[in-house]
Amino acid sequence: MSAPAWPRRRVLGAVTLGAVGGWVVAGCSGAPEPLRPSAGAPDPDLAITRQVGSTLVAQVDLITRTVERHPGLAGRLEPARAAHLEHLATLVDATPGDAPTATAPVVVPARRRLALRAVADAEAGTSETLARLAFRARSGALARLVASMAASAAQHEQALRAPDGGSPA
Amino acid sequence: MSATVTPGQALQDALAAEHAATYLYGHLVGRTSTDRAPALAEDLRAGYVVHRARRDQVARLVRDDGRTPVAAEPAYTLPVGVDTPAGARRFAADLESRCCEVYAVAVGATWGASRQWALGALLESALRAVALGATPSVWPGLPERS
Repeated sequence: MSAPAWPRRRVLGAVTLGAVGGWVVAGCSGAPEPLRPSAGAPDPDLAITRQVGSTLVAQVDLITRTVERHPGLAGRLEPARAAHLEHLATLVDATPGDAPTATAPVVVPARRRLALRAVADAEAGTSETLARLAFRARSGALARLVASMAASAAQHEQALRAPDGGSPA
Repeated sequence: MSATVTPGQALQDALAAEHAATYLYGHLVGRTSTDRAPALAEDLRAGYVVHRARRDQVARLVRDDGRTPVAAEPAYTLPVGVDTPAGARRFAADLESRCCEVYAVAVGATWGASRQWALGALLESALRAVALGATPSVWPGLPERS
């Protein structure tokens, strides 16, 4: 089954996912091990990387559609959107058009407060999914990277639930 | 940071971080008035309890790995500028962010139960940092990307 292409235009905006020979997460200087699959061998983490990508795309898609319906939420949601886009940009994919994309329909509540809550709920789900994927990753560097993405999503969820949009402290 | 952190070393590093966090949170708790800053005092006490529990959890993981858990330092450099509630809150938030770095390394260096522990610790500290006033980060625990 061939996976659909990345929805670059609507979701990824100006982010460029460069095509290179083998997916590489650049700049993992603090990683416990190199994050490079051996040439020619099937990468056991490729499926996990794709799931990470589709999870992030789905969340960016939700935020984008939420802002389209509720432009007043743009400022509130932009930090989370920017974070997920940076996460996506870090997952440089080897084969454009081969990466999974979000397929679930996005329903944005008509009421702004409920729409914001829906995004926060989805951030929680994103964090849980990414944490599960980090747990399963064979590559330690990938596990560390995806775990950080999960932590970022959790932080954004918490910030979105704060009444004033800032720290709940 | 070394590119070859062993699972055992990563857990020992996490334990050392928990020793320090427990000590420093205890210091902050002792300097924060429950009358003048009750919410902060509660947050700090919660942080102390969580890190003390994590210290004991990771010490067990180290023992299960056949190693002797690293001991706490005789003393830690006490933070400055924590005599005000704002300063104490800021320091605690930074402490949690630094703990995230140690946990993230442990996530990458371990697997199974140890990775699960490190993942839980990373997520919890990331949330606690924001609760204490930190801005949500793009890469919690990854200083090379900050």
